[in-house]
Amino acid sequence: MNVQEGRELLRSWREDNVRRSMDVVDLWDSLLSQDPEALGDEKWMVLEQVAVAAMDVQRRDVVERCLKRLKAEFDLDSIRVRRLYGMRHEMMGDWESALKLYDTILEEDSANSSARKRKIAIHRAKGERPQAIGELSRYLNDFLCDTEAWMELCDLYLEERDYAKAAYCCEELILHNPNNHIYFQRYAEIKYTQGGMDNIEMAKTYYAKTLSLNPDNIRALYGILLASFQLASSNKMPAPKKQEFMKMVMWSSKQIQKRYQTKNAPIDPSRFIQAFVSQPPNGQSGASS
Amino acid sequence: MSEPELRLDPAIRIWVFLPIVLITFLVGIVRHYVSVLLTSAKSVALNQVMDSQLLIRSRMLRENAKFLPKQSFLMRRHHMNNEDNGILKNQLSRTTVQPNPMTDPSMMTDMLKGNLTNVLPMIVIGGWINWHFSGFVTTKVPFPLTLRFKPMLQRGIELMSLDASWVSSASWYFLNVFGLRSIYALVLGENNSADQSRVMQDQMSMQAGGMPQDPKQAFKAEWEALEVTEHHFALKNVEVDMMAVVGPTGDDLYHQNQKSIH
Amino acid sequence: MSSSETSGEPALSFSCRAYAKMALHAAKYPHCAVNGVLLASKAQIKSLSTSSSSSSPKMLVVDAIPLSHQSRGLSPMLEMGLALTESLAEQEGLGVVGVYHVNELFHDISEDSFMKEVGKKIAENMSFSLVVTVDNQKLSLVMESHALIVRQCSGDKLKDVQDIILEGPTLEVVSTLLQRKNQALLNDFDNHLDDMGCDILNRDLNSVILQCLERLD
Repeated sequence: MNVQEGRELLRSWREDNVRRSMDVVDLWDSLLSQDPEALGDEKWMVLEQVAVAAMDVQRRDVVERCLKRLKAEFDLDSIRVRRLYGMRHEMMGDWESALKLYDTILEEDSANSSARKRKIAIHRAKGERPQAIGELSRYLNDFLCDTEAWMELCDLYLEERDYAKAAYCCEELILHNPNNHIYFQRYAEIKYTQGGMDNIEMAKTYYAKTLSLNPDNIRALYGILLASFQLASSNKMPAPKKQEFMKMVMWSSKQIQKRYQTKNAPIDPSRFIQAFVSQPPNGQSGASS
Repeated sequence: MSEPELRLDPAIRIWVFLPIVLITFLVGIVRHYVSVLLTSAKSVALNQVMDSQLLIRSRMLRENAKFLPKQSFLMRRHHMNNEDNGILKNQLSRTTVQPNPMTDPSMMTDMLKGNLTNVLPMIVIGGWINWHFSGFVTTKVPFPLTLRFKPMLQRGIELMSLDASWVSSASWYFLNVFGLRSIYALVLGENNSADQSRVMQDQMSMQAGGMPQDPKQAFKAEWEALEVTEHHFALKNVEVDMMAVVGPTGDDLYHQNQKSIH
Repeated sequence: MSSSETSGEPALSFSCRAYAKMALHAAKYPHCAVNGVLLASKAQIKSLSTSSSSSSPKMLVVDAIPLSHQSRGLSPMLEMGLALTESLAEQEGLGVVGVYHVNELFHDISEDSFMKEVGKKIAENMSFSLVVTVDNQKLSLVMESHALIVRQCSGDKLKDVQDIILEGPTLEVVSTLLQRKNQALLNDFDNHLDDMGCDILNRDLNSVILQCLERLD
């Protein structure tokens, strides 16, 4: 791989916001560190990206080198550089210094969202989940439309096993991005986990929406299979509805098998699916029971 | 009707037509870099952020609530609109201070900088071109124009019989200023400051967003719109859509045929 | 190495393959909470189900199937993964005997409530199940001791199991694999759902582990 290709790869990771810290640092070590000037105008963004990745994998040597170069160019007047120094404190576990630094940034610029997010991340890293949730909720009162923050809050509530509030966060995500199949899928999963026939029916509906947005979403197909099966197995369901659900079970299981066949997958789920759909009903779902 | 067609001196092409294009282009590039140097980072106050985000959220709720269950929509609408502590309702009753452009220094400097980098060069260079390249027509626009356009486009040429399609150098300059926008996008990348029409759009939207009286009215409008929004669950028949998108398995078609026979 | 050959009676042991896959799963997603199931031979499970449940289980955990690195306490895909794994394991004469999980935070060795529920469900079919927490702090490129915290789940109770041995030079094998960054070869059920070409049984990785074991044995 040459420098040009390496640069393209880093840019695609930067734009997609993927967390591949080990790969970024390896790329830096093997290819880009010899001559960072060859990166041209992108070099500052690359240095920032490599610094954050190196902090993620505790490569202090790389962190020092990148930060030194950024500080030489932009000085500590730049809020963006100061945030990186704050993250460096976090890497060392020095929460106090990091918090102090972020507070100075917020004094200068009260609307700076990234400093506030770092403070929440510190709570999370220390395992202080309730405080993280509190701070994040206050943040979201001010920045109502920050999708990334709603995602984070949804994750935190799921860790707390507070599925109702997680569902609320997921609804916010859907409101702001009604064409993203992942949010509908996540909402369906939360509804299913909450349990109860109404929620499972809702889950099935949302899985169906996921599929209509993205017909290749295999999780949604499995989800429909699971939800329909649970509904069909329930004793409280009237017979015609049970039939409907069984039809859906059959349809989804055939779709899944078709996918595996066309993909030539190394495992064959047909035996599993046959066994699954012919098992005796247990009527209960997930961990909510 | 212009018969025979006017023939222009080829020297006009070399010494007027092309130089005007070149001048406009280079001035645009210079303007871009100058504005990059002069622009101060726009620091937004926290409450302005909150206001705009609240409005956006209210709009999202109205537009996309159909993807949520009814209960969720009603809960959110209550949270925003209710009499006692709905967050939209609260915004309607707060008092706002109007930052006067004359007294607010930061707005003043921003306006000044904007004018300096954009309007001033355009006037100065337009005037210079008009003075320097006057007395002849430069080019012909490819579509016919009415006589009304003559005084505007043929400034300095007092010929009654001349077709209005023939324009002077000043008009060609202004055509360039707006027409080179896409070239700037290619050369300087998107969001460049040489983009004149974007600047004008920015000025207009700045007036809309920055005006303090507007938020209150905007909040009122949102509150009313949200009150009348009804919830129609869009996912009622989603399974039909899903089947259509994903495609049938073999037996679906068989069963459909069966249904149609009986 | 924690070898309890002095105790005389066979203890709960983990095969090299099972331990390696747990460690590699943790190493592949250091910023996520990961989990998976543990497999043992059906014959052993059957014999233990009939014996008394008060004593610590004496069995060999043969394999570990990594399930998820983004489950976040959501049940649908975990249920599917569990069912699929059970079905595939049965074809090899194995059964699900427990679960393992690795927490997201480095110092966190607390038990996971969600995985505890899964463990309880598994225990409904047998008399007990294992819930293993992998301690991040003990995983490194050169390992001194095993990183497993094992609890036995019977009914509603979780009991610590102290007596654990690893097969042969497992720690050296796993150290070598981590140094070679072989965790990239591992596939979990989440990877499989993203791309059905991924082998959830990790047969390629299994042969790599076996080669390494044979070389060091």
